[in-house]
Amino acid sequence: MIAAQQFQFLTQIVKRMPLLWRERREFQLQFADVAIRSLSTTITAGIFTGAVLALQFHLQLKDFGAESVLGGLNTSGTIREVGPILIAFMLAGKVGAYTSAELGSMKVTDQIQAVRCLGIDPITFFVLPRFCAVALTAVLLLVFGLVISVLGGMVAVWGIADIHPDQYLLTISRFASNTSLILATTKSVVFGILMGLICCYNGYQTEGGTFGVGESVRKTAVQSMVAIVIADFAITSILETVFRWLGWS
Amino acid sequence: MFHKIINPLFENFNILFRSLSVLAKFQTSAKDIWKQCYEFGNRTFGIVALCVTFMGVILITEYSFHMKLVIGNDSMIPAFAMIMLARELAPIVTALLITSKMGASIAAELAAMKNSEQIDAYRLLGLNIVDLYVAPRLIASVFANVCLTVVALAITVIGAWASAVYFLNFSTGPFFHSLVVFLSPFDFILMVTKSASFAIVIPIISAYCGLEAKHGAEGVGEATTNAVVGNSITIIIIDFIITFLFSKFY
Repeated sequence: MIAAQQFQFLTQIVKRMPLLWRERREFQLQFADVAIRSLSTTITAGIFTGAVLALQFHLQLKDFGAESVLGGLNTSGTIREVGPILIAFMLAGKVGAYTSAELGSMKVTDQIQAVRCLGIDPITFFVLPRFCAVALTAVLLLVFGLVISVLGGMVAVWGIADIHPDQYLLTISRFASNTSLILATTKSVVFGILMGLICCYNGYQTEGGTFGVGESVRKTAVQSMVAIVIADFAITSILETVFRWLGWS
Repeated sequence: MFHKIINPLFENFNILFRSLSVLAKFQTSAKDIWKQCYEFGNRTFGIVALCVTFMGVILITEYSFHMKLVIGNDSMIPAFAMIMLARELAPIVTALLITSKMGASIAAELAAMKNSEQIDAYRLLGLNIVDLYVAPRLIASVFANVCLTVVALAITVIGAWASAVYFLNFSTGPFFHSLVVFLSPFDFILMVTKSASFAIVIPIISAYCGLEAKHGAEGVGEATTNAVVGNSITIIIIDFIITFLFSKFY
């Protein structure tokens, strides 16, 4: 039900996509704003995701004496599966919730109605630049966070398990193949679009005064997380099948 | 710069100790606590079970890909995936979902109360909002989060078993045998420790963000966003610290 309405909302946005050039100024402002504000969150999330997973993989591999492959295994495991999910969870809170709160407070203070009274389409004016900015920044920040997570894992095992960075980096190319990179990039793109759609939809549909704004932020966070997990499952299954069909895996 | 970090930390600990002292003196009514347990537990059970099960199913297929590369032997995949899930992903995914659902709603509610000056009204009556509001949520959060994590892991074992039998051609016997051999009570203790520590963080930081909210609808939105982000970041840092301590003692 909600998914159908959100899909309808997405088609409305996509229909207005050619008008983005006219709103480029707002798009640039939103893009810079969201990207700069979320950079510290992304770096923290990336470093700690990589570090925690490196510790866990180290504990598991230690029993088998396979510590030499830790770098490759951790990098591959992080960028294929756990990294996109955890970093996207953090970004859903930061990027998505912020935009949702902004649109929601515009809605409850009747700014969107005011713009409509002036004869301007509010979806083109408010939603389109925000959707594009959130989707684009989320994709870029996810990829950036995944790169940072490699660094975090490297530093963590260097400090704690005494594995030298050279040895850590050596095995990465053996494990992280092109298919892993394709998988990670596809996941980042889809998660970014989902985040942008869900936050704009919930912000635009806000009702009920101040408390409604908080409620729509909560809805954004919950729906983004559930959508991300389900999309992750779907992308992994579909792409694995495609890779097997192409004979790449 | 320094006071910007120290002051919020001090305030958070203030809220924590205040609510702990109220709980220690048994000043919270049992009815409130059960109501919050329902909110934290039953209301979030659906999404937690869904998300953790999906994570388990994907994790087991990913592990089969990696383990074939590393050891060339896939008999230990279920055990490895389940250890990773129990030690790491089940507590953190559950905590992040409860953050976005309950943490955000605590922050939004307190911020809206502050906007409509209800908190000042309570203060005029000689009541502290932390005693009334945060204390029952704190104990309910710990109780519900630990229970949810355990139940979600149990459901995930079934999900992982189904996917291992269906996708990876495992038989039921070897699957559960490897779980029994490799999963230790230590993993379980780590899981409960992690989920309990995350659960203490959630209501405290959310309440702090709600109480510090600025005026107006933007203030409420900002407080809710801050609550979700602050909780997520704190949770992953605490996760790292607990894992580090655990790896020293293991």
